[in-house]
Amino acid sequence: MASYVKYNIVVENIGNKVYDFFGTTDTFKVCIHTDAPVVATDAVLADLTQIGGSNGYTTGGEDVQNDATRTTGTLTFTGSDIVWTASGGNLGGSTTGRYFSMYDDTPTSPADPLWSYWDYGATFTVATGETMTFDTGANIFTFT
Amino acid sequence: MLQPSDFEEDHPLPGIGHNQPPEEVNTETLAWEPPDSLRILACPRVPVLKCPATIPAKYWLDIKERGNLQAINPCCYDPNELEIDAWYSSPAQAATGVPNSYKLYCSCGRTHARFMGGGGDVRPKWETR
Repeated sequence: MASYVKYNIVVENIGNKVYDFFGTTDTFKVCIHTDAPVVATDAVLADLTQIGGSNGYTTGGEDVQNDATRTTGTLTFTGSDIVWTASGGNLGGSTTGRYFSMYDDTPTSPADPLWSYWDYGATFTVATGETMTFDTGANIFTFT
Repeated sequence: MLQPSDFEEDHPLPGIGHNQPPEEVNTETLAWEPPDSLRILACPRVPVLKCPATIPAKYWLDIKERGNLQAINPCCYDPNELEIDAWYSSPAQAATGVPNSYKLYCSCGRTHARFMGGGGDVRPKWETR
């Protein structure tokens, strides 16, 4: 997973018990955004510039259906694939995405704390009838 | 005294002082890779069902089961209609030798991209000769 990058704020949030990985207590979402992440300072969803909330993209992104398990000293965080379909125009309207970020949609203080981002490597346009799938694999991350 | 322009009307010289119409390229599709893309082609485009590597069925089943079928053509989740290629999202990813992005090209002209955010799964990789 060379493209997975954790935001710096994560370690502080873990110390403050911000995230709950297990079960359905916390809902993690993946969004699409246009601005390059700044791992040193980006801390919450509001720090990102998402693509427009139109034509198949809902502002805030999609629920990754997260859960977690622990085996000995390793936590495995899992989710379900997300498929965005452009409908009625390009996904996000005139904006083009490039980055995916995952965040915890449940906490209110801080609100929507970030966890990680991925770089597609280029701006992309999803035209009507096309789809962009975010594949969560066998796990999104492991934590030891 | 004769001028070059005296000849151009009878014998136009393409490319010399004449603007050639730019080749039309559709940039508003997932098939398009912008000039500043960091992405590197890992595996060439091949028909899904003739690919030397086994392509997981979820690559097209996800489109059918999780996509908006009111907007998606049925051919777009029929492996008989699809071709696929594999990409690295960056030079650093290319150095690992593991693709993390795939594109499915449908015979209808639409493209479907798959970005591998997670891990621990099979990443098909192939060569053609």
